[in-house]
Amino acid sequence: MTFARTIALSGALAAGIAGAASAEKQFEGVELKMLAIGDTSVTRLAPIVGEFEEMTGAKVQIDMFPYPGLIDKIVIEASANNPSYQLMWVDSPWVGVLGESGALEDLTDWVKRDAEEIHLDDIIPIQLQENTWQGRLLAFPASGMIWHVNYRKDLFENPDEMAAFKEKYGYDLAPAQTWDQFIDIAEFFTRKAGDTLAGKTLEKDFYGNAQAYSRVAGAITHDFFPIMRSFGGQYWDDETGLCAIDREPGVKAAEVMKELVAYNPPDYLGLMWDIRTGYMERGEVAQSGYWSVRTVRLTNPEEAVLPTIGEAGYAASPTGDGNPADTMTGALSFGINSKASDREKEAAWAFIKWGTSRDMMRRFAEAGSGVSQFHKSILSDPDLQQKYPYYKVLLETQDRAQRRIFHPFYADVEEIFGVELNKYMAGETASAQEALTNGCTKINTRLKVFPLDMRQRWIADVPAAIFD
Amino acid sequence: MAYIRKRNRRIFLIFLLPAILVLFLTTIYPMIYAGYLSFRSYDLAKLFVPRVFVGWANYREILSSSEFLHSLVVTFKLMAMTLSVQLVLGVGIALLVVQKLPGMPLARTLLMIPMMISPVIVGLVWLFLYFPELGYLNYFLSLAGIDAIPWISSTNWALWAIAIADIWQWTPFVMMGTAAALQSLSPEPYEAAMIDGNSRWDVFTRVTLPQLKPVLVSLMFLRAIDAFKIYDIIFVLTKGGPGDSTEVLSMFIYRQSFTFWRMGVGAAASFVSLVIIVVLITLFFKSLNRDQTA
Amino acid sequence: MNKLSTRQTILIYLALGVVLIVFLMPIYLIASSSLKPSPIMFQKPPAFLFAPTFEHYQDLFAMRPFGKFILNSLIVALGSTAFSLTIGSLAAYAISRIRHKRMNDVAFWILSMRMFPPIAVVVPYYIIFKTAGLLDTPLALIIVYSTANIPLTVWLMKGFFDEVPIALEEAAAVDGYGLLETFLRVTLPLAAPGLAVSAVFCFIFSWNEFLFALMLTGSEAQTATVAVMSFWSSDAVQWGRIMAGSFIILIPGVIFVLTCQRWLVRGLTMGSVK
Repeated sequence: MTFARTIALSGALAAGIAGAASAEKQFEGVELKMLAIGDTSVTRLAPIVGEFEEMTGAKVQIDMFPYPGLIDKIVIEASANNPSYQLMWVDSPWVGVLGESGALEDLTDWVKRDAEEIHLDDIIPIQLQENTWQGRLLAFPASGMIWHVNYRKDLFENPDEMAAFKEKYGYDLAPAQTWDQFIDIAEFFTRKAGDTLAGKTLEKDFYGNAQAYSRVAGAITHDFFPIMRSFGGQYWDDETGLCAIDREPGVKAAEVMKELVAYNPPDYLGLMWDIRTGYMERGEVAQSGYWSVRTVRLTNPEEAVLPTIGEAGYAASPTGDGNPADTMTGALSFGINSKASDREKEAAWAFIKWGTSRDMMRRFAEAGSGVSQFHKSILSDPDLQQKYPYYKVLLETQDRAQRRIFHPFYADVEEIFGVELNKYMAGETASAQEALTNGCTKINTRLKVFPLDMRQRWIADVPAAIFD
Repeated sequence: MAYIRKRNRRIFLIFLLPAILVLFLTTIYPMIYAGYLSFRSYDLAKLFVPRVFVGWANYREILSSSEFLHSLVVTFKLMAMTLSVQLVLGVGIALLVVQKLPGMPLARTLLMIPMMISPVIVGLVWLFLYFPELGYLNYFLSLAGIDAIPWISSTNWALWAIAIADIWQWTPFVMMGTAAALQSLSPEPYEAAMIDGNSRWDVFTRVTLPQLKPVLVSLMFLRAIDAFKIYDIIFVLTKGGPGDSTEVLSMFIYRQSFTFWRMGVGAAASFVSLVIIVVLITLFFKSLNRDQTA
Repeated sequence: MNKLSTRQTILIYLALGVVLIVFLMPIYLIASSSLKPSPIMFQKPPAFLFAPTFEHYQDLFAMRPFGKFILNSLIVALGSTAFSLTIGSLAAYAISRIRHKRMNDVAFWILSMRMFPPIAVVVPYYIIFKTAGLLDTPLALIIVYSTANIPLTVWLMKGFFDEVPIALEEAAAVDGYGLLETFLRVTLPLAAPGLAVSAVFCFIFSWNEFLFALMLTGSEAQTATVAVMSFWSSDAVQWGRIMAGSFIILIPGVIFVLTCQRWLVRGLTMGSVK
């Protein structure tokens, strides 16, 4: 065995690719290009693709594009015959539209074949289900997220504040179990400049809460749908396959968000994901519910500066009645262009396995990188839990998590409800019911032209046959 | 006559034909393709949507859609806002910078910088300025004792926020054209007017403005074509929101063509908007010709 | 014009000062934010005094091949400008000289190329370039931008050619100059300011364009504008890097303005008076 082969072998073992050692540079000459964004799920990987080439011979290039416009580029790319990109970065709600058009390769058989190598049992099942369309696994998670609540632990544990809260509301201050409590907390902590907060005089206004209300990129729906879910809401009617967002849970969720407006920063209608998380990161709000991809910034001083870094607390999403209900998952994933050549597909799969492997994920975690993890063993690791306290929430809530919307008309839903909800929050629509009914009417107009069995098929969450 | 005709033909062949050929070759296919799409149901992403001929259905849908009409109204509102302010500000600033005082040429140069910046970046910078809590603009207002304005997050302000960014970028264009025209005006009418004892304002309205008119009309014409297509700044700042308060024509077409992938409807909307602007421009030229002959 | 009093002079400078501050503030903002450390990027009140950092510039070039993207932008912008000026000024000359009633229609047809909403033709162009193997090449962008730049050049240059006296060309013809020679040696030099202004507008448009550059390029021909926007991600907007990239992108425009200011101003009025 030559020295080079020894290196290749140890590299392959280190990355968890068994079998690669037997073939010398299995994918020599293959060039892969990936259509992606500059998200942490990609930026951590991009600088080290050389290691993959070293091991397999396949050259990988990752092209990063802005998030606004990326899905447009993917769909156009998928509509062309000879692909420019073999690998694609996929946000999980896109699997419906990409799956229905046959743009993505079915990974089910590969996953079954390599189950041991990829530690299939260790991956949280819902994260795989998140990328499934009609029984086919169309993408593999590179970052698994849930929607949860972040809060200022230092404030929640301050004796003065705790006493004042108890006196005012009659129960103990703690992370909210119900949305009513969530609103109480938001109200309680909303203070003006000059008021006292945890014993200090505030120099500027302090807000109880920050949620995304902007319609840019459908941001408001990304908070609204998890809240609707926590009330037990569904997107679709099982019988007709038509819009069910305007039912009671949806209305309640919209009303919760409307009620929270008073405790949000005054620019709430413009709050995008990152502006909203920014308030939390600077410690200028008491609590904020959002997707766990950004949560790492509350734990790692190199990612962000929180006045009380390490003092943030993490909790599951509140629910309507306080009993545990469904939380919402999402996955940022890698998929393979179905029009790539067979050899390219094999190489692309090898790349996905390498880039999302347990060892790679652990390496990212240890390096302090903000990838939202999806391996049970990593999330339950006591050392890592110490470092990233939110891992516990990530792990515990996913038992009863439900997947995000995966309907082929997802983009329509996001855009239309983005506008309708935004109008309601701005006070232009009289009631939540009216806003949601408007949205559903618009969606249903587009859906009704399709036969019933088709609509029912679109909403059926058929699991991929990965587990025996 | 025969000579001229022969010369004309040679000029046509050597000079004009290349441009016609190039434009024809590079635009004919996309235009025909878009025209073809506009009569079809064509969803680029959802292959299960039947791709069939639908006649004028796309056009009917657009012309009867309140959203399309709304976007048309917003577009014209925005055009009126930006063009009028650019005209007034541009002429005003031009009157300042043509004074024969030290430093004026430098000021003219510096003021041209905004229009050299990519509209996407203009959008990003103004986003930065507009952040209600943390933006610079509201900070400066607070120094002046003015309450924070929800620039891009209020349905009342958002269109103005877009307009201000566009005004910021393109007032220099009007200023530059006007300043140059002012400098090339002949001095005689002024001297006569001054001798007659007219006030400054009278001189400006009776002597300067009429002379400037052709330049201003031409500048406004160029601005109007671009304002009708305004897209990048809105794409970055509001994407049409909040609500639908900044949903201009380009955003409507973008939403149909990309977000919803209804390429047929998007193409039909593009042709309708082309017809609207061509009709407006034809009317504009007609009225211009009438003015000149009158 | 009559002489200004001291009071008037002061007032003019005051007004000018306000105007300059308003119009240059955003530029200052780009420059200062590009040097601002991330943790204090957003603060209330904004931080005006801080120890500058070059980390955003370093990141920009470390995380993307930004130098290559700038080169792409240059190739595309210069290529489209050269091509549009050549084709466009020839056509403008023809439209200015040929006395025929159909010429107005031709001119209008050329100008109307600029009026079609670009969004509608993105996908058709994509299909063409994909078929021709031109996707993700600078040539594709040069072609697309020229369809917008040629009409603009024709519109601007026609005004200049109209101003050049025919008598000069007739004299040249007597001297034995051919058609093309007359154009190149006599007419074009007199319309040089027009060329300058057309060049600047063609260059700036091509350099700054976003939509087509996003859709028609990948890693090979990506332009700097798209690269800057790519720091707008799903989980964060990297303002420092965006501002650093923006600052670099606006340099060519500023250089242009500073160097050909005189021509620009003359050019724009002469051309647009018509």
